[in-house]
Amino acid sequence: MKELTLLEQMILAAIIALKEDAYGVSIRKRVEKLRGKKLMYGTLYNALDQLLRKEYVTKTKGTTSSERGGRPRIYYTLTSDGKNALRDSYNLQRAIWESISEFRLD
Amino acid sequence: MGQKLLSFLGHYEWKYFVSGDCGEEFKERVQENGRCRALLWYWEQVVYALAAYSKISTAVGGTMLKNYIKITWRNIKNNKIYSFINIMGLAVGMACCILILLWIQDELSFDKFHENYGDIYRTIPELQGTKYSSNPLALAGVFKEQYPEVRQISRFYQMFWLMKHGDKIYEERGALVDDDFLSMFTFPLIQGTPETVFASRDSIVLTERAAGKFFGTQDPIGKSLLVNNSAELIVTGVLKDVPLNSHLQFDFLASMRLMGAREHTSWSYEARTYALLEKDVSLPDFADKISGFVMEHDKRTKQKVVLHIQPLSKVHLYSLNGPDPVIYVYIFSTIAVKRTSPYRTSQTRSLDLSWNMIKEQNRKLFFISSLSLRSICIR
Repeated sequence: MKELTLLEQMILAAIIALKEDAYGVSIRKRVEKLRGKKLMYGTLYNALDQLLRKEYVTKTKGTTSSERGGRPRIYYTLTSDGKNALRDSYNLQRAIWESISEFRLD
Repeated sequence: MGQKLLSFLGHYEWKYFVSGDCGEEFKERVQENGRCRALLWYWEQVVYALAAYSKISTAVGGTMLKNYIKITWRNIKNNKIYSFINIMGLAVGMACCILILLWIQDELSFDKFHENYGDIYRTIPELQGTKYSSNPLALAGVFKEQYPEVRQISRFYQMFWLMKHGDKIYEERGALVDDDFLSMFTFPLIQGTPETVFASRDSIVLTERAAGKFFGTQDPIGKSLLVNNSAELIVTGVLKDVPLNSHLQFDFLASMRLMGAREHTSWSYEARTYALLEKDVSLPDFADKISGFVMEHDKRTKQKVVLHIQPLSKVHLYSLNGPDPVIYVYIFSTIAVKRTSPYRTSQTRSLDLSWNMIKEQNRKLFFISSLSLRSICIR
Protein backbone atom coordinates (compact mmCIF):
# COMPACT_ATOMS: atom_id res chain seq x y z
CA MET A 1 0.00 0.00 0.00
CA LYS A 2 1.20 3.44 -0.84
CA GLU A 3 1.79 5.96 1.92
CA LEU A 4 -0.44 8.97 2.26
CA THR A 5 0.91 12.28 1.13
CA LEU A 6 1.20 15.09 3.64
CA LEU A 7 -1.78 16.85 2.11
CA GLU A 8 -3.91 13.74 2.31
CA GLN A 9 -2.97 13.30 5.93
CA MET A 10 -3.97 16.86 6.65
CA ILE A 11 -7.29 16.46 4.87
CA LEU A 12 -8.11 13.22 6.67
CA ALA A 13 -7.19 14.78 9.98
CA ALA A 14 -9.39 17.76 9.21
CA ILE A 15 -12.31 15.49 8.36
CA ILE A 16 -11.94 13.68 11.65
CA ALA A 17 -11.70 16.91 13.59
CA LEU A 18 -14.70 18.49 11.90
CA LYS A 19 -16.87 15.42 12.50
CA GLU A 20 -20.30 16.07 11.02
CA ASP A 21 -19.36 19.43 9.59
CA ALA A 22 -16.71 18.24 7.14
CA TYR A 23 -17.48 19.67 3.72
CA GLY A 24 -15.50 21.62 1.09
CA VAL A 25 -15.40 25.03 2.66
CA SER A 26 -14.69 23.93 6.20
CA ILE A 27 -12.04 21.40 5.18
CA ARG A 28 -10.28 23.93 3.02
CA LYS A 29 -10.24 26.54 5.79
CA ARG A 30 -9.00 24.13 8.39
CA VAL A 31 -6.19 22.76 6.24
CA GLU A 32 -5.19 26.20 5.17
CA LYS A 33 -4.94 27.29 8.80
CA LEU A 34 -2.97 24.20 9.70
CA ARG A 35 -0.31 24.52 7.05
CA GLY A 36 -0.29 28.32 7.02
CA LYS A 37 -0.31 28.32 3.22
CA LYS A 38 -2.95 28.86 0.59
CA LEU A 39 -4.96 25.84 -0.51
CA MET A 40 -6.87 26.01 -3.73
CA TYR A 41 -10.12 24.18 -4.29
CA GLY A 42 -8.59 22.56 -7.32
CA THR A 43 -5.90 20.96 -5.21
CA LEU A 44 -8.32 20.04 -2.44
CA TYR A 45 -10.77 18.31 -4.71
CA ASN A 46 -8.08 16.51 -6.66
CA ALA A 47 -6.84 15.06 -3.38
CA LEU A 48 -10.39 14.26 -2.24
CA ASP A 49 -10.97 12.47 -5.53
CA GLN A 50 -7.94 10.30 -4.90
CA LEU A 51 -9.12 9.53 -1.39
CA LEU A 52 -12.56 8.64 -2.69
CA ARG A 53 -11.10 6.38 -5.30
CA LYS A 54 -9.00 4.62 -2.67
CA GLU A 55 -12.15 4.42 -0.53
CA TYR A 56 -10.58 6.18 2.42
CA VAL A 57 -13.52 8.58 2.61
CA THR A 58 -17.18 8.44 1.63
CA LYS A 59 -19.41 11.31 0.72
CA THR A 60 -23.01 12.10 1.52
CA LYS A 61 -25.15 14.79 0.05
CA GLY A 62 -26.38 17.34 2.54
CA THR A 63 -29.35 19.65 2.37
CA THR A 64 -29.78 22.00 -0.55
CA SER A 65 -29.73 25.65 0.36
CA SER A 66 -30.39 28.63 -1.87
CA GLU A 67 -27.21 30.43 -0.83
CA ARG A 68 -25.16 27.74 -2.57
CA GLY A 69 -26.90 28.21 -5.89
CA GLY A 70 -29.11 25.15 -5.43
CA ARG A 71 -26.21 22.80 -4.93
CA PRO A 72 -26.16 20.46 -1.94
CA ARG A 73 -23.20 20.41 0.39
CA ILE A 74 -21.11 17.28 0.09
CA TYR A 75 -20.09 15.94 3.49
CA TYR A 76 -17.14 13.62 3.85
CA THR A 77 -16.61 10.95 6.46
CA LEU A 78 -13.69 8.62 7.04
CA THR A 79 -14.01 4.91 6.36
CA SER A 80 -12.22 2.30 8.45
CA ASP A 81 -9.70 1.96 5.63
CA GLY A 82 -9.05 5.66 5.88
CA LYS A 83 -8.57 5.47 9.61
CA ASN A 84 -6.12 2.60 9.18
CA ALA A 85 -4.22 4.48 6.54
CA LEU A 86 -3.98 7.54 8.76
CA ARG A 87 -2.85 5.44 11.68
CA ASP A 88 -0.25 3.77 9.47
CA SER A 89 1.13 7.08 8.39
CA TYR A 90 1.19 8.27 12.00
CA ASN A 91 3.16 5.18 12.96
CA LEU A 92 5.45 5.72 10.04
CA GLN A 93 6.10 9.31 10.99
CA ARG A 94 6.79 8.32 14.56
CA ALA A 95 9.12 5.59 13.37
CA ILE A 96 10.98 8.11 11.27
CA TRP A 97 11.60 10.39 14.22
CA GLU A 98 12.42 7.54 16.60
CA SER A 99 14.96 6.17 14.16
CA ILE A 100 16.99 9.32 14.59
CA SER A 101 16.30 9.92 18.27
CA GLU A 102 19.94 9.37 19.12
CA PHE A 103 20.91 12.28 16.85
CA ARG A 104 20.18 15.85 17.67
CA LEU A 105 18.30 17.85 15.13
CA ASP A 106 19.51 21.36 15.21
CA MET B 1 -19.93 31.99 -15.58
CA GLY B 2 -17.20 30.06 -13.85
CA GLN B 3 -19.85 27.68 -12.68
CA LYS B 4 -21.05 27.01 -16.16
CA LEU B 5 -17.53 26.58 -17.46
CA LEU B 6 -16.62 23.97 -14.91
CA SER B 7 -19.91 22.11 -14.99
CA PHE B 8 -19.54 22.06 -18.77
CA LEU B 9 -16.31 20.20 -18.30
CA GLY B 10 -18.43 17.90 -16.28
CA HIS B 11 -16.05 16.69 -13.67
CA TYR B 12 -18.43 15.25 -11.17
CA GLU B 13 -16.88 16.70 -8.03
CA TRP B 14 -16.40 20.16 -9.39
CA LYS B 15 -19.93 20.55 -10.44
CA TYR B 16 -20.64 20.76 -6.77
CA PHE B 17 -17.69 22.58 -5.47
CA VAL B 18 -17.57 25.58 -7.71
CA SER B 19 -21.18 26.57 -7.49
CA GLY B 20 -21.50 25.24 -4.00
CA ASP B 21 -18.41 25.61 -1.93
CA CYS B 22 -16.87 28.41 -3.91
CA GLY B 23 -20.13 30.28 -4.11
CA GLU B 24 -20.64 30.00 -0.40
CA GLU B 25 -17.21 31.27 0.44
CA PHE B 26 -17.53 33.90 -2.26
CA LYS B 27 -20.47 35.42 -0.44
CA GLU B 28 -18.52 35.48 2.80
CA ARG B 29 -15.66 37.20 1.08
CA VAL B 30 -17.88 39.80 -0.52
CA GLN B 31 -18.86 40.96 2.94
CA GLU B 32 -15.33 40.85 4.27
CA ASN B 33 -13.14 42.15 1.46
CA GLY B 34 -15.52 43.69 -1.05
CA ARG B 35 -16.88 42.42 -4.30
CA CYS B 36 -13.86 43.11 -6.45
CA ARG B 37 -11.43 41.14 -4.34
CA ALA B 38 -13.90 38.32 -3.91
CA LEU B 39 -14.41 38.08 -7.65
CA LEU B 40 -10.67 37.96 -8.14
CA TRP B 41 -10.40 35.19 -5.61
CA TYR B 42 -13.27 33.28 -7.24
CA TRP B 43 -11.67 33.38 -10.65
CA GLU B 44 -8.32 32.42 -9.22
CA GLN B 45 -9.97 29.32 -7.87
CA VAL B 46 -11.65 28.56 -11.18
CA VAL B 47 -8.50 29.01 -13.23
CA TYR B 48 -6.51 26.92 -10.84
CA ALA B 49 -9.14 24.22 -10.84
CA LEU B 50 -9.06 24.17 -14.62
CA ALA B 51 -5.32 23.85 -14.59
CA ALA B 52 -5.52 21.00 -12.11
CA TYR B 53 -8.22 19.37 -14.22
CA SER B 54 -6.21 19.60 -17.40
CA LYS B 55 -3.24 18.08 -15.62
CA ILE B 56 -5.16 14.84 -15.28
CA SER B 57 -7.29 14.62 -18.39
CA THR B 58 -4.71 15.81 -20.87
CA ALA B 59 -1.60 14.32 -19.37
CA VAL B 60 -1.12 12.41 -22.61
CA GLY B 61 -2.03 15.30 -24.91
CA GLY B 62 0.12 17.76 -23.02
CA THR B 63 3.18 15.59 -23.10
CA MET B 64 2.69 14.78 -26.73
CA LEU B 65 2.20 18.37 -27.70
CA LYS B 66 5.36 19.37 -25.90
CA ASN B 67 7.13 16.53 -27.60
CA TYR B 68 5.98 17.58 -31.05
CA ILE B 69 7.24 21.07 -30.48
CA LYS B 70 10.55 19.72 -29.30
CA ILE B 71 10.85 17.40 -32.32
CA THR B 72 10.03 20.20 -34.72
CA TRP B 73 12.63 22.40 -33.15
CA ARG B 74 15.29 19.69 -33.29
CA ASN B 75 14.35 18.97 -36.86
CA ILE B 76 14.81 22.59 -37.79
CA LYS B 77 18.14 22.66 -36.04
CA ASN B 78 19.42 19.49 -37.67
CA ASN B 79 18.33 20.27 -41.23
CA LYS B 80 19.25 23.92 -41.29
CA ILE B 81 19.38 24.26 -45.07
CA TYR B 82 16.16 22.39 -45.77
CA SER B 83 14.38 24.20 -43.00
CA PHE B 84 15.66 27.50 -44.29
CA ILE B 85 14.40 26.73 -47.81
CA ASN B 86 11.07 25.57 -46.49
CA ILE B 87 10.47 28.43 -44.14
CA MET B 88 11.74 31.00 -46.61
CA GLY B 89 9.56 29.48 -49.31
CA LEU B 90 6.56 29.62 -47.08
CA ALA B 91 7.34 33.17 -46.01
CA VAL B 92 7.87 34.40 -49.56
CA GLY B 93 4.75 32.59 -50.72
CA MET B 94 2.70 34.07 -47.95
CA ALA B 95 4.11 37.53 -48.58
CA CYS B 96 3.23 37.26 -52.28
CA CYS B 97 -0.25 36.09 -51.47
CA ILE B 98 -0.82 38.91 -49.04
CA LEU B 99 0.43 41.47 -51.55
CA ILE B 100 -1.74 40.00 -54.30
CA LEU B 101 -4.76 39.95 -52.03
CA LEU B 102 -4.16 43.57 -51.04
CA TRP B 103 -3.90 44.52 -54.68
CA ILE B 104 -7.10 42.67 -55.55
CA GLN B 105 -8.86 44.30 -52.65
CA ASP B 106 -7.72 47.71 -53.88
CA GLU B 107 -8.81 47.03 -57.46
CA LEU B 108 -12.22 45.80 -56.42
CA SER B 109 -12.76 48.73 -54.08
CA PHE B 110 -12.57 51.26 -56.91
CA ASP B 111 -15.26 53.97 -56.73
CA LYS B 112 -17.23 52.02 -54.15
CA PHE B 113 -17.03 54.86 -51.63
CA HIS B 114 -19.73 56.78 -53.51
CA GLU B 115 -23.08 56.60 -51.77
CA ASN B 116 -24.84 56.44 -55.14
CA TYR B 117 -22.36 53.86 -56.42
CA GLY B 118 -25.02 51.55 -57.84
CA ASP B 119 -27.05 54.26 -59.59
CA ILE B 120 -24.37 56.30 -61.34
CA TYR B 121 -23.79 55.63 -65.02
CA ARG B 122 -21.76 57.32 -67.67
CA THR B 123 -22.81 57.76 -71.25
CA ILE B 124 -20.59 56.23 -73.91
CA PRO B 125 -20.88 57.26 -77.57
CA GLU B 126 -19.81 54.76 -80.20
CA LEU B 127 -18.43 55.97 -83.50
CA GLN B 128 -17.59 53.54 -86.25
CA GLY B 129 -17.29 50.65 -83.84
CA THR B 130 -15.08 52.43 -81.33
CA LYS B 131 -16.41 53.55 -77.98
CA TYR B 132 -15.30 56.78 -76.36
CA SER B 133 -15.68 58.13 -72.88
CA SER B 134 -15.89 61.72 -74.14
CA ASN B 135 -19.35 63.00 -74.88
CA PRO B 136 -20.63 66.01 -76.76
CA LEU B 137 -20.58 69.03 -74.47
CA ALA B 138 -24.20 69.91 -75.12
CA LEU B 139 -25.44 66.38 -74.53
CA ALA B 140 -25.94 66.59 -70.77
CA GLY B 141 -28.53 69.36 -70.70
CA VAL B 142 -30.75 67.92 -73.42
CA PHE B 143 -30.34 64.42 -72.05
CA LYS B 144 -31.71 65.35 -68.65
CA GLU B 145 -34.63 67.23 -70.14
CA GLN B 146 -35.64 64.41 -72.40
CA TYR B 147 -35.45 61.49 -69.98
CA PRO B 148 -37.29 61.69 -66.63
CA GLU B 149 -35.29 58.66 -65.48
CA VAL B 150 -32.27 60.91 -65.02
CA ARG B 151 -32.26 62.39 -61.55
CA GLN B 152 -29.01 64.33 -61.80
CA ILE B 153 -26.43 64.75 -64.49
CA SER B 154 -22.95 66.22 -64.52
CA ARG B 155 -20.21 66.66 -67.01
CA PHE B 156 -16.57 66.23 -66.08
CA TYR B 157 -14.32 68.19 -68.35
CA GLN B 158 -10.74 67.43 -67.42
CA MET B 159 -8.42 70.44 -67.37
CA PHE B 160 -4.78 71.18 -66.62
CA TRP B 161 -4.51 74.70 -65.34
CA LEU B 162 -1.53 76.79 -64.43
CA MET B 163 -2.59 78.54 -61.26
CA LYS B 164 -0.92 81.42 -59.49
CA HIS B 165 -1.30 82.87 -56.03
CA GLY B 166 1.26 85.44 -54.93
CA ASP B 167 4.57 84.02 -56.01
CA LYS B 168 3.40 80.43 -56.05
CA ILE B 169 2.71 78.90 -59.43
CA TYR B 170 1.67 75.29 -59.89
CA GLU B 171 0.06 73.29 -62.62
CA GLU B 172 -2.88 71.39 -61.29
CA ARG B 173 -5.13 68.72 -62.67
CA GLY B 174 -8.82 69.34 -62.26
CA ALA B 175 -12.09 69.58 -64.02
CA LEU B 176 -15.02 71.71 -64.98
CA VAL B 177 -18.17 70.17 -63.57
CA ASP B 178 -21.87 70.88 -63.32
CA ASP B 179 -23.58 71.94 -60.10
CA ASP B 180 -24.92 68.43 -59.53
CA PHE B 181 -21.45 66.91 -59.39
CA LEU B 182 -20.85 67.23 -55.66
CA SER B 183 -24.28 65.93 -54.70
CA MET B 184 -24.08 63.00 -57.13
CA PHE B 185 -20.66 61.78 -56.10
CA THR B 186 -19.45 61.43 -52.57
CA PHE B 187 -16.55 63.83 -52.47
CA PRO B 188 -17.03 65.44 -49.07
CA LEU B 189 -16.38 69.13 -48.59
CA ILE B 190 -14.47 70.30 -45.55
CA GLN B 191 -15.45 73.90 -46.10
CA GLY B 192 -18.41 75.14 -48.06
CA THR B 193 -21.67 73.39 -48.96
CA PRO B 194 -22.28 71.38 -52.16
CA GLU B 195 -25.29 73.54 -53.11
CA THR B 196 -23.58 76.91 -52.89
CA VAL B 197 -19.94 76.47 -53.86
CA PHE B 198 -20.68 77.02 -57.54
CA ALA B 199 -23.20 79.81 -56.99
CA SER B 200 -20.89 82.25 -58.67
CA ARG B 201 -19.45 81.52 -62.09
CA ASP B 202 -15.93 82.48 -61.04
CA SER B 203 -15.65 80.06 -58.18
CA ILE B 204 -13.18 77.26 -57.67
CA VAL B 205 -13.06 74.39 -55.19
CA LEU B 206 -9.67 73.00 -54.20
CA THR B 207 -8.71 69.77 -52.53
CA GLU B 208 -7.03 69.95 -49.15
CA ARG B 209 -3.70 69.15 -50.75
CA ALA B 210 -3.89 71.84 -53.39
CA ALA B 211 -5.16 74.40 -50.88
CA GLY B 212 -2.23 73.59 -48.63
CA LYS B 213 0.17 74.12 -51.52
CA PHE B 214 -1.13 77.58 -52.35
CA PHE B 215 -2.22 78.98 -49.00
CA GLY B 216 -0.32 76.95 -46.39
CA THR B 217 -2.12 77.18 -43.10
CA GLN B 218 -4.17 80.22 -44.09
CA ASP B 219 -7.90 79.98 -44.61
CA PRO B 220 -8.28 79.57 -48.40
CA ILE B 221 -11.93 80.62 -48.56
CA GLY B 222 -12.36 83.92 -50.41
CA LYS B 223 -8.77 84.00 -51.70
CA SER B 224 -8.27 84.46 -55.40
CA LEU B 225 -6.27 82.39 -57.86
CA LEU B 226 -5.02 83.58 -61.22
CA VAL B 227 -5.69 80.85 -63.73
CA ASN B 228 -3.68 80.53 -66.95
CA ASN B 229 -2.76 84.19 -66.52
CA SER B 230 -6.20 85.19 -67.72
CA ALA B 231 -9.00 84.64 -65.22
CA GLU B 232 -9.31 85.35 -61.50
CA LEU B 233 -11.20 82.65 -59.62
CA ILE B 234 -12.34 82.84 -55.98
CA VAL B 235 -11.96 79.81 -53.72
CA THR B 236 -15.35 78.92 -52.30
CA GLY B 237 -14.76 75.46 -50.89
CA VAL B 238 -12.21 72.88 -49.80
CA LEU B 239 -12.61 69.22 -50.63
CA LYS B 240 -11.21 66.28 -48.82
CA ASP B 241 -8.41 64.75 -50.90
CA VAL B 242 -9.71 62.43 -53.60
CA PRO B 243 -9.20 58.79 -52.59
CA LEU B 244 -6.66 56.90 -54.69
CA ASN B 245 -9.21 54.25 -55.55
CA SER B 246 -11.34 56.70 -57.49
CA HIS B 247 -11.21 56.75 -61.26
CA LEU B 248 -11.98 60.47 -61.14
CA GLN B 249 -8.81 62.22 -60.04
CA PHE B 250 -8.64 65.99 -59.62
CA ASP B 251 -7.25 68.72 -57.41
CA PHE B 252 -9.69 71.44 -58.26
CA LEU B 253 -13.23 71.77 -59.51
CA ALA B 254 -14.65 74.78 -61.30
CA SER B 255 -18.03 75.55 -62.74
CA MET B 256 -18.93 74.43 -66.25
CA ARG B 257 -20.37 77.87 -66.85
CA LEU B 258 -16.83 79.17 -67.36
CA MET B 259 -17.10 77.66 -70.83
CA GLY B 260 -19.57 80.35 -71.80
CA ALA B 261 -22.29 79.71 -74.34
CA ARG B 262 -20.34 76.86 -75.88
CA GLU B 263 -21.33 74.49 -73.08
CA HIS B 264 -24.89 74.34 -74.44
CA THR B 265 -24.24 74.47 -78.16
CA SER B 266 -21.05 72.57 -78.92
CA TRP B 267 -21.49 69.00 -80.08
CA SER B 268 -17.79 68.27 -80.18
CA TYR B 269 -16.68 65.36 -78.09
CA GLU B 270 -15.00 66.89 -75.09
CA ALA B 271 -16.41 66.02 -71.65
CA ARG B 272 -17.27 62.86 -69.81
CA THR B 273 -20.88 62.73 -68.73
CA TYR B 274 -22.20 61.03 -65.61
CA ALA B 275 -25.87 60.49 -64.89
CA LEU B 276 -27.56 59.51 -61.65
CA LEU B 277 -30.59 57.41 -62.59
CA GLU B 278 -33.71 56.69 -60.59
CA LYS B 279 -33.52 53.45 -58.66
CA ASP B 280 -36.33 51.64 -60.46
CA VAL B 281 -35.13 52.22 -64.03
CA SER B 282 -35.06 49.15 -66.24
CA LEU B 283 -31.58 49.33 -67.74
CA PRO B 284 -32.06 47.40 -71.01
CA ASP B 285 -35.12 49.50 -71.89
CA PHE B 286 -33.33 52.70 -71.04
CA ALA B 287 -30.27 51.67 -73.08
CA ASP B 288 -32.59 50.99 -76.06
CA LYS B 289 -34.24 54.36 -75.65
CA ILE B 290 -31.05 56.39 -75.64
CA SER B 291 -29.10 54.57 -78.36
CA GLY B 292 -30.20 57.03 -81.08
CA PHE B 293 -29.97 60.10 -78.91
CA VAL B 294 -26.94 61.75 -80.47
CA MET B 295 -28.17 61.20 -84.04
CA GLU B 296 -31.44 62.79 -83.08
CA HIS B 297 -30.00 66.01 -81.70
CA ASP B 298 -26.72 66.57 -83.46
CA LYS B 299 -27.86 67.59 -86.91
CA ARG B 300 -24.40 68.07 -88.38
CA THR B 301 -23.08 64.59 -87.76
CA LYS B 302 -22.65 62.49 -90.85
CA GLN B 303 -21.39 59.40 -89.07
CA LYS B 304 -23.57 56.93 -87.26
CA VAL B 305 -23.29 57.46 -83.51
CA VAL B 306 -24.74 54.99 -81.02
CA LEU B 307 -25.06 56.08 -77.40
CA HIS B 308 -24.38 53.45 -74.72
CA ILE B 309 -24.51 53.52 -70.97
CA GLN B 310 -21.97 52.11 -68.53
CA PRO B 311 -22.41 51.62 -64.80
CA LEU B 312 -19.84 53.10 -62.46
CA SER B 313 -18.93 49.61 -61.29
CA LYS B 314 -17.55 48.80 -64.75
CA VAL B 315 -15.59 51.98 -65.28
CA HIS B 316 -12.35 50.89 -63.70
CA LEU B 317 -12.07 47.19 -64.47
CA TYR B 318 -13.77 46.97 -67.86
CA SER B 319 -12.39 48.65 -70.90
CA LEU B 320 -14.54 50.25 -73.57
CA ASN B 321 -12.74 48.53 -76.41
CA GLY B 322 -10.69 45.38 -76.36
CA PRO B 323 -10.05 43.01 -73.45
CA ASP B 324 -11.23 43.97 -70.00
CA PRO B 325 -8.50 44.63 -67.41
CA VAL B 326 -10.59 42.65 -64.94
CA ILE B 327 -8.90 39.57 -66.40
CA TYR B 328 -5.75 40.51 -64.46
CA VAL B 329 -7.71 40.38 -61.25
CA TYR B 330 -8.89 36.89 -62.14
CA ILE B 331 -5.39 35.77 -63.12
CA PHE B 332 -3.80 37.06 -59.96
CA SER B 333 -6.47 35.71 -57.70
CA THR B 334 -5.96 32.30 -59.30
CA ILE B 335 -2.25 32.62 -58.69
CA ALA B 336 -2.87 33.63 -55.11
CA VAL B 337 -4.90 30.50 -54.53
CA LYS B 338 -2.54 28.20 -56.43
CA ARG B 339 0.49 29.67 -54.71
CA THR B 340 -0.47 28.07 -51.45
CA SER B 341 -0.42 24.53 -52.82
CA PRO B 342 3.27 24.09 -53.82
CA TYR B 343 4.35 25.38 -50.45
CA ARG B 344 1.93 23.11 -48.74
CA THR B 345 3.57 20.13 -50.45
CA SER B 346 7.02 21.31 -49.51
CA GLN B 347 5.85 21.49 -45.93
CA THR B 348 4.59 17.93 -46.07
CA ARG B 349 7.83 16.85 -47.63
CA SER B 350 9.77 18.22 -44.73
CA LEU B 351 7.38 16.38 -42.47
CA ASP B 352 8.10 13.18 -44.39
CA LEU B 353 11.80 13.67 -43.75
CA SER B 354 11.21 13.74 -40.06
CA TRP B 355 8.58 11.05 -40.08
CA ASN B 356 10.99 8.29 -39.08
CA MET B 357 12.23 10.42 -36.28
CA ILE B 358 8.72 11.05 -35.04
CA LYS B 359 7.91 7.37 -35.11
CA GLU B 360 10.95 6.62 -33.04
CA GLN B 361 10.09 9.38 -30.63
CA ASN B 362 6.53 8.18 -30.40
CA ARG B 363 7.61 4.84 -29.13
CA LYS B 364 9.51 6.46 -26.31
CA LEU B 365 6.68 8.86 -25.79
CA PHE B 366 4.02 6.24 -25.19
CA PHE B 367 6.25 4.62 -22.65
CA ILE B 368 6.83 7.88 -20.88
CA SER B 369 3.23 9.02 -21.00
CA SER B 370 1.92 5.73 -19.69
CA LEU B 371 4.35 6.10 -16.83
CA SER B 372 3.30 9.64 -16.09
CA LEU B 373 -0.36 8.65 -16.32
CA ARG B 374 0.17 5.91 -13.79
CA SER B 375 2.02 8.19 -11.46
CA ILE B 376 -0.87 10.59 -11.51
CA CYS B 377 -3.66 8.07 -11.14
CA ILE B 378 -2.08 5.97 -8.48
CA ARG B 379 -0.52 8.39 -6.16
